[in-house]
Amino acid sequence: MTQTQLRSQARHVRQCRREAIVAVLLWTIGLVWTLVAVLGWGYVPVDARPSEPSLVWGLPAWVFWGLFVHWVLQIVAAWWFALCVLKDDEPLD
Amino acid sequence: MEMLAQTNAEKQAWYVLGQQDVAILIPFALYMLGVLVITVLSNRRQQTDDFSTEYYVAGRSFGAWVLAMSWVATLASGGSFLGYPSLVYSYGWSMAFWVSGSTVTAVIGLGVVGKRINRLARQTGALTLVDLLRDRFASRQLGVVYTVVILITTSVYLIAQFVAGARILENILETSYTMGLLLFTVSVVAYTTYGGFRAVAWTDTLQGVVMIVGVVLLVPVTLWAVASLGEDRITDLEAEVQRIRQQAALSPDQEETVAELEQEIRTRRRATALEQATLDQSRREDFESTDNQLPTASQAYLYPPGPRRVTEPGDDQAGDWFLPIGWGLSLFLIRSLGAMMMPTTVPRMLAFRDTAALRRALLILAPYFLLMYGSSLITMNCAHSLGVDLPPGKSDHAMPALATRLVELQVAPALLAGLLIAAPFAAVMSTVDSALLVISASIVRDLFEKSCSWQMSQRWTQRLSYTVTASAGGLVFVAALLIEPAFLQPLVIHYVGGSASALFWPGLATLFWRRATTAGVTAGLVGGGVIYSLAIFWNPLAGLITLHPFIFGFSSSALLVWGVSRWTTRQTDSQLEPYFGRD
Repeated sequence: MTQTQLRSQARHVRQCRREAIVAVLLWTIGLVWTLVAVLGWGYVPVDARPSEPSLVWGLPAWVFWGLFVHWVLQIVAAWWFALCVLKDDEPLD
Repeated sequence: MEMLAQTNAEKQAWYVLGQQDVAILIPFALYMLGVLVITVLSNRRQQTDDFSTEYYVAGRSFGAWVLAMSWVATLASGGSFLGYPSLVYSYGWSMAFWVSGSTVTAVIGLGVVGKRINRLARQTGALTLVDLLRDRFASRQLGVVYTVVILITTSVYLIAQFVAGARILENILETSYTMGLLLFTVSVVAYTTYGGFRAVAWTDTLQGVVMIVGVVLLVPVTLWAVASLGEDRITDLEAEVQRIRQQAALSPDQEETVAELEQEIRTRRRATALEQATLDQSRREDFESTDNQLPTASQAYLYPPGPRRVTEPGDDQAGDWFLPIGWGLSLFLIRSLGAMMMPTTVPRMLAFRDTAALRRALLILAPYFLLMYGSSLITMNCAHSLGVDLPPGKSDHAMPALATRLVELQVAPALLAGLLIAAPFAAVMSTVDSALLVISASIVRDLFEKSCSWQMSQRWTQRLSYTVTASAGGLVFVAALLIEPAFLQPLVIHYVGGSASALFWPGLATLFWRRATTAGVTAGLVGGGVIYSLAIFWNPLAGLITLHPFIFGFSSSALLVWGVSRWTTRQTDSQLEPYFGRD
């Protein structure tokens, strides 16, 4: 490989690592969000459950906040990732 | 009805197709016609100079839609369209936690390794991920080990998917399991063999669209049905109140009943369709369990962990509850990380055109999973309110049963039901075709051409590729005739979990870690696989926390790759430079 190609490869590796780190950060946020929501409001002991279940838009509250709200935010984050974080790769030659 | 259908099935010979309903046959026939056209078009493309590049990575030419849809259609197997709805039907809202890892699958699956694999593959001419590993470490043994792991996991998966495909055809065409399996094998193997990767990817794209349209359309139709049944129920309740009131004097008991009924009428009037369905779920008490300490309290279908139903699919090791916390956490990890290095999805990373295609694929895919799993979560939680009542052990039929029920209730046109029944078939087909090609590429490319250094002419490569693809299909057909797994979803999870345990860290280290060595990667590969398999039978933390075998395989694979690489000699700079460059 020529000197130019080697430099280009090094830049490519750095950029890919940067993108991977952002993706892993999003993943970590997802894990923490899910665990907080599920442990806090999902795994409710039987005697602590309200007699009328608390619903948001017909979904159990923990499902609404823990899954659906989080999911919509992650979709927006994925779009941001695709548009702003993911950079075009340099051509090989 | 059931009895009648059974006697009919017994009377007719195994090869007879009993389905007469045109509304079910038309969407199915149209879909099969689409597949046929795509296959013929793809095969024409194979008359190029470079058969292998065309057959296995479609000339590295994928745009955004083909990349996105073929990736997701491969990932979403019969498990997503039969297995997941079946579990929601059985365990209710707990399944929201079960599926939560899918929130980040798209970013992790496409964003971390896609660009890197694609560039290295172009640079080295790799046609499979194994090519990349073998080249970086200049080790044939590593290539063979990796190929063997892929062959084992993919074969197990294929058998499960063949059974699923056969079951669906058995239902659609009202025929025997054998005939269903035969038709399924012939059609899938034919177009995969003949059309190669391009046919697979294009049909996957068709399938990806068919699948999502089916399940998303189901949501409004289901909610509409729940609402109209709710109104019928209110009318019944009002009649009941009237009947009691007509008596001269009401006893205190009757007063109380009337008050309760009126309360229910008020609640139902206020409630939206989904609220009604969720309230119905919260009142369900129809569970059995192996553990008599389980709560018989209400709302068991609204909160995890759910009551375990011994006759329904679950995971055998998950204990007496469905989805204890550790198991749910394991599933988050499997579902979010599993897609990254999966043998069936990785080939897409070698085949897309440029970063722009990858970017737009991610834009398309991000909402796809929510539509797919969110829809099933909502519709299958309504199934009980609509009176979809399946006998124990039959919950894998929940999705087609719901579609049929909606037609019975006259809220869905019969064509929609036909589409819905074709959707899981599309899901299974799109997974099977990719898996068959993975097996074929592994054997022809990785074992014969590279590891055994067979020099073959273009024509012989072509013949051998066709033969291997077709015989792999034939062998799986025989296996699926002999073994019939009872439930789909646990096997799918074993494939995802097992392949991620073995392949995730070795693949990631090859792509991103300079310090990785042949020994380290091999150790992680073998160790992850072996420890996963052992953990299926023996859980070292049993009694403390319920974890999926994946956790043990995955973490020990990471430790092995890291530890053994550190302990062995690093690669030289001249070996590393082509992969990592130099400033």
